[in-house]
Amino acid sequence: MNRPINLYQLLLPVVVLLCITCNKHLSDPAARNADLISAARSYIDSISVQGHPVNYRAAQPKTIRWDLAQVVSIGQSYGLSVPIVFDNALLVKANFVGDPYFHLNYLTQLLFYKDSTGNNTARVITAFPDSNYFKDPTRPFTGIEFVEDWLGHPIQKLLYTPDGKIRRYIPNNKQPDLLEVMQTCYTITGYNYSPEIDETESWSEPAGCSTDYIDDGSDGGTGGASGSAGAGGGGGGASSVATVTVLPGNSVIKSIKTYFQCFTNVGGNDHTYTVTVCVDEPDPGTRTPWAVGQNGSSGSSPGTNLVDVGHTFLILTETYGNTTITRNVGFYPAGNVNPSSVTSQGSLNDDETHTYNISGSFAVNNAQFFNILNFVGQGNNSGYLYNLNTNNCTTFLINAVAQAGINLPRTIGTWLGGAGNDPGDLGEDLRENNISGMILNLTGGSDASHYNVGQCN
Amino acid sequence: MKNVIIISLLLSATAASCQLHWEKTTNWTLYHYQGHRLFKIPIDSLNQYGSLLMSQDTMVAFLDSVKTLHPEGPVAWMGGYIATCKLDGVIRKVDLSVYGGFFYDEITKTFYELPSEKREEWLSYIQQCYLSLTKKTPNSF
Repeated sequence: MNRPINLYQLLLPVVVLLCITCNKHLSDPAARNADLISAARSYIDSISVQGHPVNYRAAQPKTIRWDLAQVVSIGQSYGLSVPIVFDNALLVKANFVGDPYFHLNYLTQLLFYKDSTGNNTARVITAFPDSNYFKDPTRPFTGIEFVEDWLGHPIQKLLYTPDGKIRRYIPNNKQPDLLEVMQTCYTITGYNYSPEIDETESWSEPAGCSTDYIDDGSDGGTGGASGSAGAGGGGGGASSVATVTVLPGNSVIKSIKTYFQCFTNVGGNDHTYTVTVCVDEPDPGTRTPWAVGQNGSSGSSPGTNLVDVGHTFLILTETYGNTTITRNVGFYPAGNVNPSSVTSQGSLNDDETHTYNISGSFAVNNAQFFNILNFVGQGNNSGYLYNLNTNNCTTFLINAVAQAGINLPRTIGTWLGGAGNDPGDLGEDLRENNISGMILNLTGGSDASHYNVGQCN
Repeated sequence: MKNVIIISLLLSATAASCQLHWEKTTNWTLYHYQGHRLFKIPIDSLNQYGSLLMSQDTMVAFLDSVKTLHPEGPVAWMGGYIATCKLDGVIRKVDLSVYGGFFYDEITKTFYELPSEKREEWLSYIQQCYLSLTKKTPNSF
């Protein structure tokens, strides 16, 4: 599963359907490569600001590894195949693979070339292996490839079957733009078209595969825009053959050790460490420990079915030289809790998009910082319980920073059916007490002001 | 006795017909808003917020085994996201909790929860969608 797929091999038949007839030849390979990379970078720069990503994968922060670009033959000319690495680890699974997850980094390539009319063309090729390929990656690739433009508009989907055939997926809802793309491809490539129709879908089948790249002439690829904001699956409505589930992120931190592994435990003055206590008070500016769901103008309200208890979490930061590492972490129950059912398995979550209205920051040394990390690390341990009264997010945080000698007030609030530390009281304690060594922030933070920083997973 | 059985069957059928088929929802859209006014924002005002169409396939995969949550008391809300979806031609405002794998349907005023084995993936998926809304997509060249 961790074995990288040889995408360069895969690109050959893919671009059989993306013909090029450019006759430009450069005699110096080095100059040609530099020209191609320069043209590709300029082109990607230009198209990146000409629209918005239309699917989840396309919207993700990513790095094009120009340093690993390879020149590939496209018809009588050349193009570039360049690995794409996602800044955040993106794990995917597909219903035609089974249970394994795999990194999109291993699957995604940028293909840049000039089409038959001389226009720059960028295609993002994502190859999802099927269960056969997982069992034996030494065999030729089998699975499904998504061919999309830079913004994620689907161009086509190709099925690589164990018998060595390549079939083009054709949605059977009759969208004119899709048909146009399909027929253009068929006409230009000249493949024999013998659709195999089953209950829900049809595939076109090329008569054979050459190792040359062939342009399908369908630049733009606006077809299949419906439902295209998804994770790549579909494109054909109910006839979708490939369901791809993107499972990235750390919202629930599965491995706190991995999540914290960027931090380095270095003494002295070169490395500085900061811990910020962030409080999202249920009724900002007051000690109210909980707020009942409020009636909105739409009449849509959870009413008394729900109480807003707010939240408390930590932002942990290490800085050295030009490097900053930031991690957000909060303690939650794994299941829902309420005053009648107060406990649940504890769960550490990434709170980088959680808003807060007040915070206090403390500069600590490396030993203090790692004492906090060690305490927080137990939050995911099996059997370590969240308790709405005795070990909620606020209690957990107060206890965590106490490991660094930071003693926050432990005001107890009460609510219907319970009592304990609470964000309302902690927030106001931060505001009202001149806590030693604390830098108070009364303006809080937005959902976009405290992202995690630093990649080391 | 016979009447009791018939009435029970009728009640069961009625209850079943009221069950929402979340796996049939479409057009899942996530909105760029976080805060305590989440429940106060009317559905017809959501167009003022940035939004992201979520993956139909992914959402259906998550929602194919949703169950109604019957809390013993008022559920503790610790933050969440606003989403809408379409079911039987009706656009519904749904509030997604940041923990616990549950959500609140504002039309039926009912909580629903995902099975425990899907919650981590669900929460991560929603957060990543929300990150897509808040983060400009950088191309690190």
